[in-house]
Amino acid sequence: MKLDFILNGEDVSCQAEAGDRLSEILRDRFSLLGVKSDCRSGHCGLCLVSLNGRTVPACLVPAFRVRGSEVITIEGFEQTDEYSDLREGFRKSGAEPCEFCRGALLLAAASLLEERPRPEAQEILERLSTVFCRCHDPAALVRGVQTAAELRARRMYFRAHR
Amino acid sequence: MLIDEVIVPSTLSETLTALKRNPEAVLCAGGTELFSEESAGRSGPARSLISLHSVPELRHVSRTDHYVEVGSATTLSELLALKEGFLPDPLRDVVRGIGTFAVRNLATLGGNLSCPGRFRDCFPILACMDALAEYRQGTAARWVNLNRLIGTGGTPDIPRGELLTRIRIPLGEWSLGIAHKIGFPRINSRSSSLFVFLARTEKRVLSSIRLIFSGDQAVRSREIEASLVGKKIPLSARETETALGAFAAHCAQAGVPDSSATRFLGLVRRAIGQLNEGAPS
Repeated sequence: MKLDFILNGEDVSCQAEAGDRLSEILRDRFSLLGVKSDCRSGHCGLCLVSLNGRTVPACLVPAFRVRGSEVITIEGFEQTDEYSDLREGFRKSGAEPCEFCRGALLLAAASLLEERPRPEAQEILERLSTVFCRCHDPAALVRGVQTAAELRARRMYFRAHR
Repeated sequence: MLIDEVIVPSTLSETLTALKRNPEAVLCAGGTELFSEESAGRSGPARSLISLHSVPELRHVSRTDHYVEVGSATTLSELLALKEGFLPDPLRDVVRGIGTFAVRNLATLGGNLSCPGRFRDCFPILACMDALAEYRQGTAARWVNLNRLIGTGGTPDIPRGELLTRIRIPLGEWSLGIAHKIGFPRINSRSSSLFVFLARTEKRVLSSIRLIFSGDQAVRSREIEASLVGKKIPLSARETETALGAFAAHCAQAGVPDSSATRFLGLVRRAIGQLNEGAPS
């Protein structure tokens, strides 16, 4: 089947089998290797992407579901101000996730900040526990997301009062 | 899973027509069960698939004084996003324990209730609440109490060729609601099971009690539940042991494996303990 969709802000199209997974399509057809493909059951959270504004595991999204939708991967998210806030927050707090889980952690954190501009530590831990990886220090991640939340709030304030 | 044709209806009427033409088609709402690696391994011949994700009628949620009605394709995240108090608390707690937030963004209530071969987490809590499911086929519709989805041998008996359109969940306060998941937290694996205990007391008397243990098979005995109704709280040691003995006999009769039965009885004992502790002195 032919798939037409918006990927990281650009109209794209490709051929795929109806049951192909979005994670495979993104990696194999578009070389977006920030999307990891590990458990293929949605448990590990390493393949998170934004599908029509909702953060979902790409391994559980079949190709036919992607038609006409908007997909944002970590590569697309890296072009946004929200990414800069998180990157800066992580840097300031000393949170250094590994390359394998970094993209998924940032997307999970971004989705939380979208819902809760000032999240509590417990909310952050719960949201980031979606991503199974042993590399990170939970306390540093909490500080990182809270710092990012402050940066984000400041940026929004300046934007509103410009 | 091999798919030879995908039908993406955009209205309920189109969905019912498609299902009438393809009664053997696989219905797909969130796809979290259908496309997980475990299920993908069970691939057989190529099948038609009807995707329900673009049918707005199946995502409608409403509430009256007596019940909440939830469209079957409502995602678990959408359920959790409803304002506090909209859903019964024990149901909310169970939904929060299913998968991760990202999986809940895809998984639907109807999908959770329609998995063949195994009861998933929403089933026992909704069955305890005597929730009803509306199934439609062509122009015909019928409401089914979820307890009737427990087939012979306690295994799921999910209607085929019919579309689960909405779930009606009765509202009502429970004095005690316990939902205990056995298995890895957040992972909806084939080896997990759920124990649900709901009890309502009025003036230190047990006015209603429901309990289910479900996984591969569901264990529930309305007779034992009825025998406990009307008893004073706290239950005496003798009443507790009599109930546990009755549950043990029920498990043996239902062919529940010894390990599961032992676990179930331990959870019943603990739940009764909690019920007794909560009783005013």
